[in-house]
Amino acid sequence: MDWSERLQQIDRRWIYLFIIVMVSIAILRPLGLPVRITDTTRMLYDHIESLPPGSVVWLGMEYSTGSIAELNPQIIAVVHHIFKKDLKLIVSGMWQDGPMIAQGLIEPLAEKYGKEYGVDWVNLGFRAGGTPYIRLMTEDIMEATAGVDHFSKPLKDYPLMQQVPRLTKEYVDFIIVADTGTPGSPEWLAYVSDPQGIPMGVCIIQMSVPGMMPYVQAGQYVGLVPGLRGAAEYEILVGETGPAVTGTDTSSMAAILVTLFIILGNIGYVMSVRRKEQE
Amino acid sequence: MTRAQIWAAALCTIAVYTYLYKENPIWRWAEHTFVALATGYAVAYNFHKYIKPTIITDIPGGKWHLIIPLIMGLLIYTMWFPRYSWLARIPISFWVGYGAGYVLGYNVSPFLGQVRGNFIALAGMSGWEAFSNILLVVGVLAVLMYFFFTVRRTSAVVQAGSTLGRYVIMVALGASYGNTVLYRFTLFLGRMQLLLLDWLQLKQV
Repeated sequence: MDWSERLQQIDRRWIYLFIIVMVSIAILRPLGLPVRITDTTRMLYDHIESLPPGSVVWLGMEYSTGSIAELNPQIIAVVHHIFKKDLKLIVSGMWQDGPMIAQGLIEPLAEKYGKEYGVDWVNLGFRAGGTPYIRLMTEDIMEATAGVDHFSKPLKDYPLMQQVPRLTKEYVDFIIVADTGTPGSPEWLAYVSDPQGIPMGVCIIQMSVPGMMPYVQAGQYVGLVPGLRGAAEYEILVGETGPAVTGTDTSSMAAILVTLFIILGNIGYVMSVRRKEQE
Repeated sequence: MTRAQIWAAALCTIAVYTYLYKENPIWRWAEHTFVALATGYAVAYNFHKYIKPTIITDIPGGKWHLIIPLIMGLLIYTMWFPRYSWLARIPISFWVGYGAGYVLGYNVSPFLGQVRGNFIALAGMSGWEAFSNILLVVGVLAVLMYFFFTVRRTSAVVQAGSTLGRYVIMVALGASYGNTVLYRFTLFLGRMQLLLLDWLQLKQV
């Protein structure tokens, strides 16, 4: 067996081991590769930056625990920005894990910035029903949520929810949707953002970027934070560098490794085909 | 997370990753545990958030109209009884009818927004921007030609457009594949950060 055939028959477990070792090295000894801010991340940042203090930002948490590696750093960075700018925050979710994840992320940040639950931010929790749920909130939030928040506490007791009876342009200034599938940001666009005329931005996983770019191109999303890289960019923009900045190093390392493996695999394939043709 | 939670997460992660070597009982245990926990959580959450408050509080509290969707929902379960299974068609037909109308009603406007997004300036801007806009418009037209099945592709223009459309689709699929690989790596990275930084504490974050 010549080397071109051997190259194609490497036991996949050696590749896994190699990747584990390389990724571990990158995590423990980051290379500090530069992070360039992409236009779509800056657009979202600029839009939040332009909101006057006291504006209400709605965060749709449409993802499950499977995507926390990419989306949690994004949400942390964006919420840093929201609280730094003294904006109000309302969280909801059509995915049942979403608001539960949000609670764990936002609580420590609210404490850090001295934000009071019910006054500066509220977590409405998960509600079944998907898009009819968010559409109903454009008519009456109390009706859509059965009048209770994530902890089943009455919403009428919270000053923020007295101030925001409906999910309309009159009461909500901006929508951010953290999205990993359906129902997600396209549903928010169709049922809330577009009919109500509320500007909208998205925090998405890397995998969704090609599918979501047309919405940015069409001006339907004012900005887009792409994957872990986008989280790192947002961390830099708000001056709160965290796990995402370190993570992009590892992510870049992984991308280089995969590219090398693809090139090697293809070289082996082409060589073996040529050898067979010669034979 | 507390230390106990980190230990649980780390051990479960290792249990799942043992599959990379080969399928084994530890991996199966981890997978079944995850499915059981997720299902249990969903059932308990929905019961306490909806079913219980609706039956105990809302309906006796005067929201009698909620009995209608409650009965409609229960009719779905008649599928288990062949004699009465036809009753399940009532909520399903309502569901399909409402769903179709609802989706059509709300999705036209965002779709038109996408169409409008292609009416872009092709001149009077920087070279790169003009090139990008031309590429976008040509790409959209080529892909539309690729899916144009109503006439025979005898015209050279339609043939060339269709071929170009196929290449544009392949580029888009390549971009999607690349992004998917990177996303999977990020998930792996998240687990490795948990193992190395939170669990083994090999480096202060």
